Amino acid sequence: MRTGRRMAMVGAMSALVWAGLGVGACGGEDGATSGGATPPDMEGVIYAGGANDEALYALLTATAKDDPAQKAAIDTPEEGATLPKDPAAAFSWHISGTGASLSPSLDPAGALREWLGVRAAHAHGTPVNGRGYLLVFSVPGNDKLLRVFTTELAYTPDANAWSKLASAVAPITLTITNAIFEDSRVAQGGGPFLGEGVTFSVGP
Amino acid sequence: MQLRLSLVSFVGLAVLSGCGGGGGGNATGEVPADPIDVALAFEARVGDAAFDCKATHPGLGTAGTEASITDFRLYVHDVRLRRADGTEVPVELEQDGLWQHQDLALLDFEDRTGACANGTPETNATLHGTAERGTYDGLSFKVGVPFELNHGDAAAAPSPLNLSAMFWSWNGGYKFFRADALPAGSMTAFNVHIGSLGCQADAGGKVTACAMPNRAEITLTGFDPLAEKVIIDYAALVAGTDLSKDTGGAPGCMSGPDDPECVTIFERLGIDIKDGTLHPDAQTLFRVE
Amino acid sequence: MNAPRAALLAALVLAGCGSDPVPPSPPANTETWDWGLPPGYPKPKVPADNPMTVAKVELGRRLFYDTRLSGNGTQSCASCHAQEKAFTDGLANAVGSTGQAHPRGSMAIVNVAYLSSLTWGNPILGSLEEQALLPMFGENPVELGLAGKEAELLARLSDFPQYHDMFADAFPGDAEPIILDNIVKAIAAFERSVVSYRSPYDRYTYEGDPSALSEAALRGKELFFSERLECFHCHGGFNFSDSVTHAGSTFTETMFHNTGLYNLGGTGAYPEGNAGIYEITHLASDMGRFRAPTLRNIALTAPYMHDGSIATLSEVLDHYAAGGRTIEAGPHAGVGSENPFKSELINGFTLTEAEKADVIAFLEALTDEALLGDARFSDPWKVEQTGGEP
Repeated sequence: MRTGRRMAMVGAMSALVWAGLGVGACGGEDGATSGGATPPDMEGVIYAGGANDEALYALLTATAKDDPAQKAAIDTPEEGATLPKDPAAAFSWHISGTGASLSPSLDPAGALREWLGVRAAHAHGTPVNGRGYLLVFSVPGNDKLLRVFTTELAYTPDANAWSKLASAVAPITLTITNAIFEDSRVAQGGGPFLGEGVTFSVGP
Repeated sequence: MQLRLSLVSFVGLAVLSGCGGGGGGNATGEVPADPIDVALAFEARVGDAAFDCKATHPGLGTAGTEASITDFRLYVHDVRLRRADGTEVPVELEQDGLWQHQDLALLDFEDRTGACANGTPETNATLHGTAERGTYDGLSFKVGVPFELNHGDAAAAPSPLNLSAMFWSWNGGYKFFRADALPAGSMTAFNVHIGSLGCQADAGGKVTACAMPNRAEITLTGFDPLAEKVIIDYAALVAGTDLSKDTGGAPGCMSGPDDPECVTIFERLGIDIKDGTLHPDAQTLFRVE
Repeated sequence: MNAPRAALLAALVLAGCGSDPVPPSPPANTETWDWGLPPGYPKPKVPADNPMTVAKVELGRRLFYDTRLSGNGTQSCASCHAQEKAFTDGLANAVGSTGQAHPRGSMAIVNVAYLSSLTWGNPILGSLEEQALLPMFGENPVELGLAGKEAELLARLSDFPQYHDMFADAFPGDAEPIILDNIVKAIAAFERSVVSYRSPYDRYTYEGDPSALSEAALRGKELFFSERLECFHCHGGFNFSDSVTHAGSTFTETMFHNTGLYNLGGTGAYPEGNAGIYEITHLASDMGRFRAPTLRNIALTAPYMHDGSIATLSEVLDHYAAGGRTIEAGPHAGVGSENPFKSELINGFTLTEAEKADVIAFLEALTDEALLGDARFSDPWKVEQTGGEP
């Protein structure tokens, strides 16, 4: 009798622990923001490849993780390269790991968050499914020189965007944060994932 | 001492109330006051002839078609005995684990001989149950499977809901009535399948309602249901139909409201196919002699 | 410290905050199914009364390819759902075991686990277990032709000794495991396991491999997801269909659309026997509404539409570009674009020949070659005949 009651208590307590995690007791993850946080700055972001603001919002309000198999590795430009001013450079990258079947991990708290989560504003444009990449170009003193949010694995700036990069006097660092989206929300096990930066300059 | 006495009386009463009823207990668990055993007999005919899977039956329908009948089964439920004053008394069906389940029974006239290739060798032409003792003047019942039983998991259903030939999976239920005919010399069957249509399901896939329930109400009076049999006559059902052709819809009538063949067949079942209202006085499938 | 407090503390310590929470205790049957899906790819919903296990999926595979599952022993499920054709049969109208033609074509048994409704047009058929009864016992037309023969079916399976072990392994604890309910559950479990996620599109979009999509396919992708073509409205999401549900879905969306394929005599009618969900609901506004199937492997599943009446992908695009199909003469003549029940999303668009080629390149990138040869979904009987390893 006593053991039974004890086990029931443990069960009930564990359930409470789960529920506590699920309702964001330990801070926001995968789209749930803690109360009172300022909304992320999405001004001036260029959208490409059908990426939309709702997915970007989901990416920016989540806590990015460090996962070597999931990070975006930049192919062009190479570290320390000097790019000609003309024509506009093409930036490209890929996902580091093979991406092949990683064992799906059970994430019941994540499922609970999904269930409780409230949708953000209706997306403008096509829902994002698959990976989305946030490119952040920064120089010392301006951490948002140029930002691009795209679903493609390459980006060539148009004249306006390129002029921002070409006119920078200091070396530019590009970092790419990526996440896997399902209907414009960050999927379970979908990051976001931090990327390593590459620093380059645009030549004289 | 007192406890033991009350226990004995309780058990005694339970045993006593069990006597006089059917073998396997009653459908709703309620025991009729002063119950009697009831056996309601049905006889399948095609016109004047007895129904026979091995025979071909001539003179059917408006074109006098000769046909073999390849299936002849139906579900009935809500069986009631009628008194002369019009009041009704329910029949509690015996739970035999085979033909009768809760308030539902399957009447099966085909015997898997002759043309009845997809049937079962077993037949059932009698409903067994209990009812209140009394004198009765008639019988009422519904043709079909009640809603509560019509949309369950057919693959796991108890007998008699486990007969694949009575599944109507594409409409989410069962065929309530099934009488199929094959006109002599033809390859095109004339099938009469009656069931609920226009069913809707909720997000979980559970059927919530059907726009066209199609459960015919049958009322027969002026006879003693405990002593005389009820005739079910295939020829009477199709008397207004040309069995040699199908002018539209499914081959025969599969309850489609747009199917021209269904109009007269539904009339003879006492169902207005346009609005679904029941007209027991109009049905001709069942009669007494 | 007594037991419950220790357990609670342990749970809290293990859980931490912000990292992976404590997983629930592993299921009692330890041979649970590993979907093999990449991260971020949604997992299918599995009904509580039919959990996925290795033994059950294996039994389901064996049954799927077994001709004992037809009345006359000539067909199995795989006869109309062949792996090399992405589990379809390449016919406009499927043909049953007794030679009767079906009004519609076989649908691909790929990613069916994600579908919220099954078959081309049936809003009340939501579970694979239920759907299996249709081809098995349906009589109009006869498909596998088992109506009235369930006792014979069970006898056939019971006569094969290997099935005794397989059914017992798949349904442990059942005194009599060889029953109809378990047959459809096993087949459903196998069908659920057939998931497509390794196409070039998946390699690009989920795995971030830039070499996976050609320039043409990338342009086609952009067109597909554009507001001009709006393909994604009905064929969107990870499964390229809007009738989709998965383990994380909170709502079940089931959509049916009339795309203006027919308009008999200007009444909006579709040919009799192929009127879409109207045949189930009998609501006038449901005339010609069918489910949008997945476009995965679409390059392999010609001919197209519910009745196979469009032969090539190029002609499919012509149909949508025109906002509906015009049939000049014959019993089905009519101007589909004027069908009064047509979906408001089908308005036509302009598409150059070059753009059409790009869209087709994108659609071809949805072909999952790995699935076509995946041994997990192959015919186990064939392997045994050739003496290979199952």
